[in-house]
Amino acid sequence: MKKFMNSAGTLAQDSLEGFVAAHGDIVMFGAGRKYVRRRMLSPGKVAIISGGGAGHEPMHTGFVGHGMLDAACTGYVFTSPTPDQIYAAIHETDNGAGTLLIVKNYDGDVMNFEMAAEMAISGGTHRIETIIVNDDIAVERSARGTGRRGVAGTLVVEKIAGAAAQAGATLDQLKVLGDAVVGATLNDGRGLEGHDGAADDARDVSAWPG
Amino acid sequence: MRWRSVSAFTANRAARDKVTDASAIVALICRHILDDFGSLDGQSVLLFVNGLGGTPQSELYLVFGLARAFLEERGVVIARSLVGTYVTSLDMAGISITVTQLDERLTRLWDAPVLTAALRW
Repeated sequence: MKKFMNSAGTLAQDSLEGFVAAHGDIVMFGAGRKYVRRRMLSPGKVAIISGGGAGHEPMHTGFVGHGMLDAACTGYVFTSPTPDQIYAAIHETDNGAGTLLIVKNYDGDVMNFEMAAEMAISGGTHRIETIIVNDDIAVERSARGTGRRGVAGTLVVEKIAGAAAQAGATLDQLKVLGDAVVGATLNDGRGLEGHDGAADDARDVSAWPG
Repeated sequence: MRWRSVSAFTANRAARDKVTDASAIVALICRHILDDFGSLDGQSVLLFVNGLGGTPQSELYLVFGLARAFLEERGVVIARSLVGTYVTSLDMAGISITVTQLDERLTRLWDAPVLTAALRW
């Protein structure tokens, strides 16, 4: 056994079960266990939701709580959460002040959060703004068209926007603030060669997406 | 010791860096960030050193010390700092360095109380 898991298919959800059990004073599952939310939502506050693939913990569930996120949606390992999960989080945490989505710049995340936002807006009851985080200059030289990815700078965006929302900022103000923090944040990183599971270049390609 | 870029799913790996010690890789990363910002001379920033899941805290602090010294020598004011394993890629050995330009307002919002599983002050 190389990993503490029962099966690869249930790893992400089994981990979430333990996370919620360990931090039950701060978080709880949303309906259908589709996402993790604050135990206590603040009335009249803009809801802030993020999410992404499992495998990047403690981001994002670890950032759910007072002064940061209201909900986080987790997919399978390195796989984006589904629009259905994200929509459920939007619908159930909206306190009437609107919802700010903080999304890392990956194809799957951007697409699924966008679909969920469209579902929520078309219902006529939700106001949504989205911040796309693209702090990573390590891949700027890439030939890929999607541009810089969102990585560790996402924490900074979520902390600062979360504090402003907690202090009563409006959805429009949070959109401006979040974009400004993205513009003021850059990240670069390196992994170590020869690490288990990344012994050659080709296998390394699974390292970060989602 | 060889380091490689975590620019993971890029097909072109020509940008791979071959450096031999922590000071060199930290200088390379910080130089890259400084160049992208243009100039940060006299600018207050948050310096955040993050572990990717398989690098111990001792090395993260080592990297932070080097990064702080490198940036301060170039006029950057490290107004706030964060070191830890927060944004990972399973158990990948590696680090990332994040720099956020801070003004008075962003500093106040960064300092505001937070109570989450991973961040709390």
